[in-house]
Amino acid sequence: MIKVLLADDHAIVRAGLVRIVEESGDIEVVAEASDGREALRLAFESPVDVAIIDISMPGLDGLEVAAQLLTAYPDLPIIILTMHEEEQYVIRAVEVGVMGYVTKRSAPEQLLAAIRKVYGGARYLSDEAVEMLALRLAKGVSGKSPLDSLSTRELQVLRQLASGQTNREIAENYNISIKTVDTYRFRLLKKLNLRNNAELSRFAIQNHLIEP
Amino acid sequence: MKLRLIFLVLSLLVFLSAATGSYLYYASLKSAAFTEAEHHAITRIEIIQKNLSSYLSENVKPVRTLAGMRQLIDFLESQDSKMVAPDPEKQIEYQQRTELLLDHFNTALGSDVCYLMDLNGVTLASSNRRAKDSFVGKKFAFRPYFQEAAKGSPASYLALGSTSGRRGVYCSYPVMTKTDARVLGVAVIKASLEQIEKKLGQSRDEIVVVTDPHGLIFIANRKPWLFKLLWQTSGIEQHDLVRSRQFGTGPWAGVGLVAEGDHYAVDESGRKYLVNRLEIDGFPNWHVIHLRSLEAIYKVVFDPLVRVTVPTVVTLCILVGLAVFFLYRNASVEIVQRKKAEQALRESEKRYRSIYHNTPAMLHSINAAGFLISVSDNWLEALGYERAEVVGRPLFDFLTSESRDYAVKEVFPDFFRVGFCKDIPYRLVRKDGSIMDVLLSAIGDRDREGTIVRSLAVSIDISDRKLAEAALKQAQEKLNLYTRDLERQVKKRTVELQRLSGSILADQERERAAIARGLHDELGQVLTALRLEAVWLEGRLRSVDGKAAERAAMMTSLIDDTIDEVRSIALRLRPGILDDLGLVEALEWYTADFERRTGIACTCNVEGEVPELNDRLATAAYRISQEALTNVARHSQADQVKIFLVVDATQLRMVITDDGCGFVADVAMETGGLGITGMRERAILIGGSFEIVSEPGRGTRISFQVKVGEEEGV
Repeated sequence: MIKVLLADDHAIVRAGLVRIVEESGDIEVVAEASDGREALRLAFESPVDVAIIDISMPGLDGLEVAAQLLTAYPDLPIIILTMHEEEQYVIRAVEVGVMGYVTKRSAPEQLLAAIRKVYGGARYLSDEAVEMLALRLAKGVSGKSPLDSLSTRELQVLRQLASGQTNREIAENYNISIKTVDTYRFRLLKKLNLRNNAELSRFAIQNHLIEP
Repeated sequence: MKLRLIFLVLSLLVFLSAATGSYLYYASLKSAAFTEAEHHAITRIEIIQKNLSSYLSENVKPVRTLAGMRQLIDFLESQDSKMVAPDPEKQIEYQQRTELLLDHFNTALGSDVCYLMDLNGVTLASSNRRAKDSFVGKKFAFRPYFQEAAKGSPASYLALGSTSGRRGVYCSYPVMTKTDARVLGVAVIKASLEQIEKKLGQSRDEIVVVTDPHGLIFIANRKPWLFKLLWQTSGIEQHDLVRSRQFGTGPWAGVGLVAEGDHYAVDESGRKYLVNRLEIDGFPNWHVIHLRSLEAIYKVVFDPLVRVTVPTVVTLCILVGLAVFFLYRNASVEIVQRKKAEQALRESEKRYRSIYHNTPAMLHSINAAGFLISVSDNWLEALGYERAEVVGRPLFDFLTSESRDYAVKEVFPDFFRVGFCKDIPYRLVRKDGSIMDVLLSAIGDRDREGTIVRSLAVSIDISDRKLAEAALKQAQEKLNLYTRDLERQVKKRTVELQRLSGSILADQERERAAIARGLHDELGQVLTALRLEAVWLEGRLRSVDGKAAERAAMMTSLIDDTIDEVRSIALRLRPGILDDLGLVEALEWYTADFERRTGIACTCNVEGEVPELNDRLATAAYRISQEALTNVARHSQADQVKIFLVVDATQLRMVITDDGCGFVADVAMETGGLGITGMRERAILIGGSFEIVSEPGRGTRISFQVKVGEEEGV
């Protein structure tokens, strides 16, 4: 049985989540906390296999709780379970050192898989979060680079073009029109002073945007 | 008039001097000519005298020769009865031989007659023995030449022939024996005077005469004068002449010439002559007399003078006349012009004087010593003085003591150096003792050396102006007081308003945050819980009741939409990231979201380590960028927007630029459009500065700057 700590200030939500976890059969909620301090106290009292922590909590917020837990238990897999769907939260959470990030909305579908995955030592992040991380990483590695002048969406389109996606595929991926994709492509070539898609690919590889 | 007189006198003087010059020239010429004429006369008379002398003595030697001839001696001896008896044949032969010799001599000498006389004076033989007027046998013993020769000495004699009636010069020589030199007779040669008379010439202006000791004219180049007396003579002399029978029997009239001194004589017709006389050699008291008409002498001088001088003088006179005329005319024209100019000057002066006195301004002039030399009527009227009280007195007398000091120390030295002064504030004293404030401006008149000799000054009465100024100053001070009070109040109110505005904004933010959090966390959580239940229900029902499961799925989808809606509202109100993660993350999220919504490329560049910012500052920065990006999306038609966030220990600087169409920044700022007022208000409330730069076609640039750390106290 995988022992789980669940920290969420909202009782109803917590109840719902507990039910989802309990129904899995191989996972059990051993501790429930309604705020950050309680969560810490419970975690220090009896160690758990996985900690599931909400960000928005009275007192210590979830990210702080995670940071402190990781200080005590560096190997503890932590999943952030939150209402916030913005990538910035994901990145901050990963920076703190959590292994998984699941929105409450997608909890019924993803939470169990996430628990199992992080318990197995792997990360669990949404596709969008992974991409954001990669872009952030690319920027961080290159330091002052031409990438600084590119917007998020431009970086996304660049990455997709470099990995061989067609305009139509990209348009579908990001739910934008083909014409818009073309505009992004044109803007990229101009900003990076490149001539075609082949050069775009080479540029993406050189800047660690994609794996060769 | 004066000038005309001067010209008249001048021209007269010119004529006078010309005349005097001509006269002097003439006189000198005349005296020179006269001297020359005198010389000429002397030379001439000397020549005549020499000619006459040689002519008269021409036959002296031939008669000696003749007297010495054998034939004459033989003939005379043969006639001498005392010596030998006369042989008539011999006598005739001797007579014939003598006569032949006499003929021979007469022909050879070209003389008038040659003859031989015996001691009684009887003519024995003559060359003219066959002529009608032959005087052979006649006795001429009374003739002095015979008497002289008979005594043994040769003689020359001038006389009128008593037989022939012709004048001649008689040369006699005694014929003597060879042995004892006894005088036998006298040989005579008479030469005519006609020849010599011809040589004297016939000039009317020159009279040459030969006179005997009594003054009887014997030879003359003027026939009527012959045998007349040159000078009036006494009766005794006439008698002597008669007795000598030298010139016939007389009587002899005078020519009517009267001597005037030694050298001049006047004839009957009043003609004046220059007289020169010279004695003829061999004829004692016989004179050659030369008379030269003075008139002729003068004529010699005067004719060429007239010929040359008159045209010259006339021409000169005409020229002088013309010159005088033209000069006079020019002078007249000039005089007229000058008179006109003087008239104009007088009029101009009159006009100037009229302007000076009638101009409604206070005018005065001072001399170099500072004394008033003229003042306008207006000046007198304004100050209440009479002209006599003012002119000649120093200007200082009409100044207050301060003005006097000012004038002495500054205005006068300056004025006499540069030559003008402008708007000098003087205080003049009226006659009644009251003070008048004036502004004085003046210019200086300079003499030829450039020294200022007088001034022309205009004073403007500014007493009223001064009063008005004082009143205005008072009013201004009052106004300043009011203004300061008003400003103070406004400042106070502004601070209050700002505080109010700040608190409103803060309240608004707080409320927004509360609502957003409430929506997001409370409502969101509830919806999430609902969703959990719905999903759970769907899972449970799927195997039991398909329709119910479907309803559950629809519920789930409905809940999802609601969650989206709630999240969206909450985020718009205030994004949780700003509170949870900070400004940088919030901006990153917002720019990505902006790009997603608008398609405008948006980058956010952060430089420097961003510290924990306080809520108010972060909120202000976020709201400003939000407003700016909203403007970009709405109005700019930009392709891209860039946000630069530069943070260091002391300040935060945010710059937002776009490449859009831009706008006229001033207009937008004045009208308060585009949310600019709001952005500025937020910046000011936290003690920062805000600047917006835009130009149509050049995009827009918004800068926001605030000190980090210090804003805490604001």
